[in-house]
Amino acid sequence: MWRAICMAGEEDDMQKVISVSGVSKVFTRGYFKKRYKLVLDDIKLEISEGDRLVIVGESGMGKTTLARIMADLESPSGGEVLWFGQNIRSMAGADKKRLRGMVQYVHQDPYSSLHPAKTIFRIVADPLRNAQRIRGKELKEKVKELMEKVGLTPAEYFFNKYPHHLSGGGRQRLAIARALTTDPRVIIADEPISMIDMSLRAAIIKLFKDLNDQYNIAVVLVLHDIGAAKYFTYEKGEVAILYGGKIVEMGEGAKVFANPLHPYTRVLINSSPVADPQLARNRVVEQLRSYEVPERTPESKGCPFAHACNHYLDRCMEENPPLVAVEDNHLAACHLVHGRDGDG
Amino acid sequence: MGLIIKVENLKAVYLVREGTIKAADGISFDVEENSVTAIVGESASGKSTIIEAMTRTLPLNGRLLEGRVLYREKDLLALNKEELRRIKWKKIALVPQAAQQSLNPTMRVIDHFRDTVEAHGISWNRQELIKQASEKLRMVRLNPEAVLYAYPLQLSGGMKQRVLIALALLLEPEVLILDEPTSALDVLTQSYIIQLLKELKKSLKITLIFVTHDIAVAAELADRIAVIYAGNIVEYNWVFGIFENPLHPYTKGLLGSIMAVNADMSQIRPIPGDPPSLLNPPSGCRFHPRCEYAMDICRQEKPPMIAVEGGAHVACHLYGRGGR
Repeated sequence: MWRAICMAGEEDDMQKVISVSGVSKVFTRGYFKKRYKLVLDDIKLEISEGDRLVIVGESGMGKTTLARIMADLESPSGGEVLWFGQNIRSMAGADKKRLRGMVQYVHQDPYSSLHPAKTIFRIVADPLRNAQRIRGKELKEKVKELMEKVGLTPAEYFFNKYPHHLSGGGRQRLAIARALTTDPRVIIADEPISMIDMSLRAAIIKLFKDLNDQYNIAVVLVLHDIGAAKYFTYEKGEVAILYGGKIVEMGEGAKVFANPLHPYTRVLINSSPVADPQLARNRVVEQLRSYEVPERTPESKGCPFAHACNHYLDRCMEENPPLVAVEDNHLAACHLVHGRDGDG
Repeated sequence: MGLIIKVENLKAVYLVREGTIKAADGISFDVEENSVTAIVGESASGKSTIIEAMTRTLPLNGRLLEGRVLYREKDLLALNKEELRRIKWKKIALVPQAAQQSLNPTMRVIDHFRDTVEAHGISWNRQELIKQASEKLRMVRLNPEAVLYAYPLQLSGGMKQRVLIALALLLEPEVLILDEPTSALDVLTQSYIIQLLKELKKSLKITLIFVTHDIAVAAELADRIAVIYAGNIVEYNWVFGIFENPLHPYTKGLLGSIMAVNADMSQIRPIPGDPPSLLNPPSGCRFHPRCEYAMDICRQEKPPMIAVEGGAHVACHLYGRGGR
């Protein structure tokens, strides 16, 4: 039924689940004296059916804002977001409501995103009742099926329990089961492992990989953990590195991690802890010139990373480098990289 | 290098409405002078309880049942308040987590330094205080002019953590105990703090004990690692021993599940199951419900800590008399 809506769009766009083009976001502060903060700057992204995408960056780089805009939980200041080829801002309410189920969002903190007084059964069953109009025995079976999909087994054991009976990992699984109630084509998860125990993190990332493989659901993860991003995308999928509200590097996971081009990506990979004491003692970790989060306004000039970069050129302060392809399916926004094949 | 701290059979519980949480169940380990010891465990495994018990800062519902914490032959747990005050901060200082609002938001950084000095009955005049505080802030690579008169809300997470370290260094302690010094910080700031702690250890010849949930951070910084699972130390060894030849199945699982950038991604295996509740921990070895090598004896008897060749200590029935 929902597929039919997608088919109505243009033939080319059918495969595109979400396209983001030229999206920017400006936060305004103050009343009498307005101050502007540029959080996202000209973001372009495309997510096709069955894609894996991970958005990596530190806190304050705009990655959560980007995820929220993609999920239509926040509106962009400029640019447009298309769901299945249709602009979500100009869409009629009823159409949007129908498409809404196709794009699901999993929140960061499973300790606050689940209703504490609802049983686990109701947390999964309520959206099924409301959105899918499923009732009775069928409802019970569907809840069971969803809980098994996310690894909460035996499902019946959990039915009458409450979220506080689950560990962080269990709660996140439940939040994912709830996101699956509407048969989404894409799941956007904001930092799904940051509140979860170390030994359970890999299992949650694995679950997203399995959902992507088995049900062809596109998965967008927002992560600050480079290792987890690599684990999610080493087989397939794309990585977008965000700095100062801008995508500074994007491409196939395998390529970006094997051959990081942007100086920020390199520092990020180089600074992540390695699980090898010998290597940790021998390697030299590059120190940046500044660890401040860049405060950008719509008037800011130059590359957002220039104030911290060890390899900056004069033009980095003046010109904002565009994101251009360096090799097949691997883009970077850096004057140094462009200089290499452009000027010499 | 002699022993500086020796923890013996530490047992602590929390009293809650539902019963008692057995958060530390017979913890023993030694710390050598000028070494770095990491206590690695998941949340609610009792790792913070260990340092809270060691520094006698357990919350009101915490109860210390038994055990000794020897600092240069002196039992910290048996000292009276005044004797303890003489050791705290001057010999052993605690660095709390910056993320948990450890700095008073209504006080400037300099006021925190003044409070610390006053609480320990030292009579420095203002010039002396500023001089000492500036020196310590420079040690953690902060600019004293910019930071000294700032309020905590004006500082970033990494700066707050460094202010807390500077504050702990104020009275030049021999031992620094850090609670999760890098969690809740970004990757770059985390690596910066790790480098800083490495340098401080070298230049000041201090002993560091830190708690972390991330064994990869421990690999960067620690000389010895104690792996905690559900209130017990399951393995204690030199960092190279832990990473090259992990003995306890939990340590093996933990190492196999970390998603480090340099790891072989196809070899990552999550540990099945969930960590147990410490209200009703499993019988015998507390890891047995998640352990692939679990035997009958694991369900009945708590494995003792035994020394194996190579300096490793492990609490697992696979080793020693019953095992291979």
